Amino acid sequence: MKNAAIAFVKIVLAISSADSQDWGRAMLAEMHHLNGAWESWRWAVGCSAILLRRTMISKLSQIWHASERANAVALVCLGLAGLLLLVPTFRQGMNVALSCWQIVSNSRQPNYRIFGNTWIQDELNSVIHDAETEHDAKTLAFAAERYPDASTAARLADEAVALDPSLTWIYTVVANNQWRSGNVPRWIDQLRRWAPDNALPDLMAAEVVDIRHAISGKDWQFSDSDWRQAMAGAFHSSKFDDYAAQQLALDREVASKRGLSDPLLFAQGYADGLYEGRLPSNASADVRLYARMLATQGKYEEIDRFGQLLRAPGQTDETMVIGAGLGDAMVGKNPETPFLTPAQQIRIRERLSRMHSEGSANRPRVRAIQISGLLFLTFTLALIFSLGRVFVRPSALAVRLAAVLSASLLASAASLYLSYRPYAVLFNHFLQSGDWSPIREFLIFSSLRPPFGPRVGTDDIRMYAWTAVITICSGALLWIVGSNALRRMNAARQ
Amino acid sequence: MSTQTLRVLQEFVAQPKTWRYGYDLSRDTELKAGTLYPILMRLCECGILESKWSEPEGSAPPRHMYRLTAPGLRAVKEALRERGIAFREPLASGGRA
Repeated sequence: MKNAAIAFVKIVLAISSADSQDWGRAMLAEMHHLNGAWESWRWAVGCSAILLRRTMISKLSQIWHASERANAVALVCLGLAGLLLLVPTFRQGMNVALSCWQIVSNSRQPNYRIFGNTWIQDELNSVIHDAETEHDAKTLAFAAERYPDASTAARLADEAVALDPSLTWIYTVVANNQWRSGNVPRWIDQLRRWAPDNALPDLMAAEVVDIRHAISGKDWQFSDSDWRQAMAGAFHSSKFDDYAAQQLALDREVASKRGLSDPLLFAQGYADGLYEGRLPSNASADVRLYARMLATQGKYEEIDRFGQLLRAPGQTDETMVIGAGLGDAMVGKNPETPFLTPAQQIRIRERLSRMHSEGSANRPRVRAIQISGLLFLTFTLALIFSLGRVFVRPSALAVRLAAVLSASLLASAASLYLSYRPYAVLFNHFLQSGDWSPIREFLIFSSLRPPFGPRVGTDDIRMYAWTAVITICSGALLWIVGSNALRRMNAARQ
Repeated sequence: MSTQTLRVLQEFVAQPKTWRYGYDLSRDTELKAGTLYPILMRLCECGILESKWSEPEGSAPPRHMYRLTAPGLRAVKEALRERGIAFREPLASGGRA
């Protein structure tokens, strides 16, 4: 043990600065006269601390004298960037800006954050813990909407409904992430009892049949009697409510009560369509096909009646889109009547355009945020390497390079803050006023593909390998070009 | 001047002409290496202490030794008196090395 302590001090001495060597040898020599392992290690730790402190001071002094002006620039830039890190909007912007890159890493939903609770799931767990202690049904429902694990989401939804049956509608949201779950038929029964006049539970029942046949792979041509019964039930319903309004009210209430304000948390679980109605994915196809079946039987009144439900005032865009599909079935009717008003048709066109264009109107600003976030990370990594180089071998050139990187880091941070801030304002406005339309931006944001690189998530390891090679080569090239430029500037100055 | 520094100086004043080793000082003053050596470094830098390497003894490497310089001794005695700190005057001159 004593020899190990001596060896430890020898290693520390080897990496210590030249002006610490004499004192290091003096302290090391004393160790041969110490008694016992414990005393030797205490001595070794004390000596090492002194040597490392002296080395650090010596290095800092060398670095400072290498280029005082560059050091001052670097310190000011890093100080300002550090101040930006203290601003919550900046940290939120950073999380949101980098969320799009997680889609590339095969993540269904961006759920990792640099700042705050690293995983959104952790934040949800904390919220759930409080809600369960306080028997807070609404917060449990809020968490159930978003929880990534299907069985936990189901448990939370059941707990919420048990506490407050008026939240039964939450099953329509939770079921969307787990159609194959054995819970879904039970939820549909509960929904039918809770809201017997609503068509949505029947569309959910049809979805279950769709999924069952999709798994079996058989060509069933929609001849399944369960499916026909479910669709008949939907078309005979007297109401169509997708519960988007309840969802919006619930989220705002919980956000206000729990102090939640992270857009990524709200968007969690919603690839798109938050507050736009979460309908079963095959609902549109099911409705269209069943309407055609009715049209062949001349039952236009049934189609028209269901269409009236879909185009009733207050319906969401998603429902309107499904309603648009019914227009085709009405073509054979004589005389033909326009199924949707011109205003509704424009609304649907805009909705479809938004779905397919990924927010082209806001794309430049979104790109600015994404690229600023990426540059911020890149400059941070480059600066860490650069500072390592400065400490190992202090020189005017290395210090100037670090100063340039610090300035770049500050510029990217400022760019991110300035481009993200308007979104943060919109989101806070939504929380206060309930006007949710502006927060579509955030959803577009988190689902918008990165500006370059792979366009789809993949498990193919070669894609990641090539991405890594390209990134490292680009970084190395940047480093060489930057170093050469600084060296030339240095030479020209001398 | 810190309490620990005064304790180290008291040790030196008691035997001003004796060369002292770091480990002995640490044991006599009950100061850990991490506290003692920065004090020794400062005192050496400002000329109160002088240091030298001992001759090697057997397989053990040479050791660093410290003692008060003549101006250092005067300054320390004065400083201790100003603070009303009692110190043991040397009984006899002489050194270990």
